[in-house]
Amino acid sequence: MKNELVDLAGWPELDEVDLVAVLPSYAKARAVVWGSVTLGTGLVVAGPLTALAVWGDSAPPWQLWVILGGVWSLVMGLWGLEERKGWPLRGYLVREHDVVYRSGWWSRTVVAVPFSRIQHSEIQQGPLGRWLGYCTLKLYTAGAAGANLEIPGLSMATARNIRRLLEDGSHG
Amino acid sequence: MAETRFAFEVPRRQHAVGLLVLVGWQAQMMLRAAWPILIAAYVQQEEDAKYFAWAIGAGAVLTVLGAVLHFWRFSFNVKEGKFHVHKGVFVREKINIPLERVQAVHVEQNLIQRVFGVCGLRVDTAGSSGSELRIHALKWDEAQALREMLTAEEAPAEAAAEDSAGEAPTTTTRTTATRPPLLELDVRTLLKVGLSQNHLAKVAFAIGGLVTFQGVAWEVVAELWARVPGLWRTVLLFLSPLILVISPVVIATVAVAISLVTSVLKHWQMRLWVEGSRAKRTAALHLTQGLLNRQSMQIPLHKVQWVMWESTWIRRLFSMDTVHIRQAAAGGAVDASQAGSVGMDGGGGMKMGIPAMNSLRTRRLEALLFPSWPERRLVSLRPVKYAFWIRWVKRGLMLTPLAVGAGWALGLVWGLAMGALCWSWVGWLSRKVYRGQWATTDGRHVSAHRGWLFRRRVMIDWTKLQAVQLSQNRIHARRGVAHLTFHTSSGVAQLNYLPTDVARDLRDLAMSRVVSHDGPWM
Repeated sequence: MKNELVDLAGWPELDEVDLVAVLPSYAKARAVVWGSVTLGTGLVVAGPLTALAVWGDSAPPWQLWVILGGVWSLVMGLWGLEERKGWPLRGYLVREHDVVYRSGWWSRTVVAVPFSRIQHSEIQQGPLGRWLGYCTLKLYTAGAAGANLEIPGLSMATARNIRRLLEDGSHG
Repeated sequence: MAETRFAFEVPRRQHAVGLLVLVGWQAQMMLRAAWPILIAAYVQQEEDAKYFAWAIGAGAVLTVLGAVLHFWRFSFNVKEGKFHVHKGVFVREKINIPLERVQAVHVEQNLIQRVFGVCGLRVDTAGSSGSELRIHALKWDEAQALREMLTAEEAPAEAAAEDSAGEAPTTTTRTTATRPPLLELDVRTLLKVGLSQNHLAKVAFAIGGLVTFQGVAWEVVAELWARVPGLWRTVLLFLSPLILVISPVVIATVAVAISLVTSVLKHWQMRLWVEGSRAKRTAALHLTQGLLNRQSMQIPLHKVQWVMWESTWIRRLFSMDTVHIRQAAAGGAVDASQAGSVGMDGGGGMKMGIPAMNSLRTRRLEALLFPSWPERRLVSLRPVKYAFWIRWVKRGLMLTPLAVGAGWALGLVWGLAMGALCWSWVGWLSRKVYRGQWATTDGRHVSAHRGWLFRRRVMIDWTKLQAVQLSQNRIHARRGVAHLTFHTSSGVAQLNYLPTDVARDLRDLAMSRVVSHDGPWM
């Protein structure tokens, strides 16, 4: 079965080793988001309980602390693990005719979009991105949401270069 | 010839009857948006009857006003290879569509339009969402001429005039004369189509209808009961358990009748044929159908992006399946999973669905839509056995609470028996589903089958791909399997649980097909 496919060969193989990592400042941004959400939800959970314990008529049962704390640390821990382990896997690759982006640790996806199918592109930089110096390049195709490509954590110069490459490559 | 008879170059409004059609259409839209309010108002009628009447009056006035304004401000023309539309009441909109961006033009005629002898036109462009354009009233031959202009993309404005005056009409007539239609539904086949619909959806409808009208029915029954003589009452009481037996039969009959009527109304005198020449890229698949609402659709062959065959076990009894053909969709694509979801204007009037495809017609359609299939010897791809195991375990775990419940209520033995029954049933089903999942490829196209009771086959051409996505989670990675999704501009083809290296090879092959293909894709 594989021989059949190979005899059509000559196609360029996508080697995931070649993937380029995105900017470390983007990792910082993700860490900031994770940290602030962890802190925020922690406060939301612990705040009312503490208030009850201090000013309330009766202290909340200790089981409640355990259950809520357990759920909170489990969710945040899994998210943190995903971020931590997923970071080194996150990467993109620009080839002559297509763009590839890989992300995810638990569930990993690799999306490849040919240049000739990209309808328009967008460079986006939010407040976090402006502060830490990264931007997000969005490439839209005519397909559904799953066929669009979003590469976060590029430097402005890289994003512009990829865009220029698109404009040169496409004849429209 | 179109240009000489109808002047589409000057901006013009729709036919005057369009006003009436628009009133009807707007009223329908308002009703669709406001029916919960109307029902609520109707229920509270006693206290607020006055307000209810006022609301209806205001709605009617707004509808008519909206229709008049819309009609007044809507004009269109075709000039210099572009379709221009001016519209909008408060915000003026000027829309220019280059003709090569027109994906499909459909002509349709609902009841109101039929009474006044006009028809509506829908233009689909693969732009951002809501880029579907509607013209509500045109004379039939005007609409046909406009459609011809909109779909004759290759010829530039001045060349089109001489082309259509000279040879184009002759070639068209010749090809239509020589080529027999792909499909003409006669009444017998139409009835078969009706019988082989998915009746389950209609069962819910029938039950809903019965529940709604049961109040009235009880009154009638009570009235009749009062008139029945005493002797018969005993007989009837004796027979009353029969109702329990009869009612499912009644519901089933009603459901089948609804399917029959709707499919006869929809597919009445359906005709499918191909017109135009492939070399000039004017070849298009044409379809006309409908008893009350006449529809006439057309998709240029080279714009077809995604084809799906769908069959249920009833349809397989009649050896027919339904095929859905899609061009690049406005507003991005609809995922295959939500193929039945409601789009704009009452749900996807722009999709072409053809019932009663037997194997001969399917072969002919395949040859038309994918002329180079199979390009070389087919390779078949099957999911790894792991797909079966994981499905069995997941489904089995879902049913296990049932067994636990049985064990808790009836005792250990019953629980174990129930568990064994659930797991073997699920295992059998999973095996069927697993064996129904396979794909073939020739290195350019892929044809993916899935399902057991409801089977689907999706076929796409890799040169029209938008993106390829490979995904796997940690467990899949350890097992060496991956899911592969091919995105086109109107749907996806999914190959799940392939060996990782096969999936990677397929992805690379598909990508190389796309980038080495330098022709247009839509």
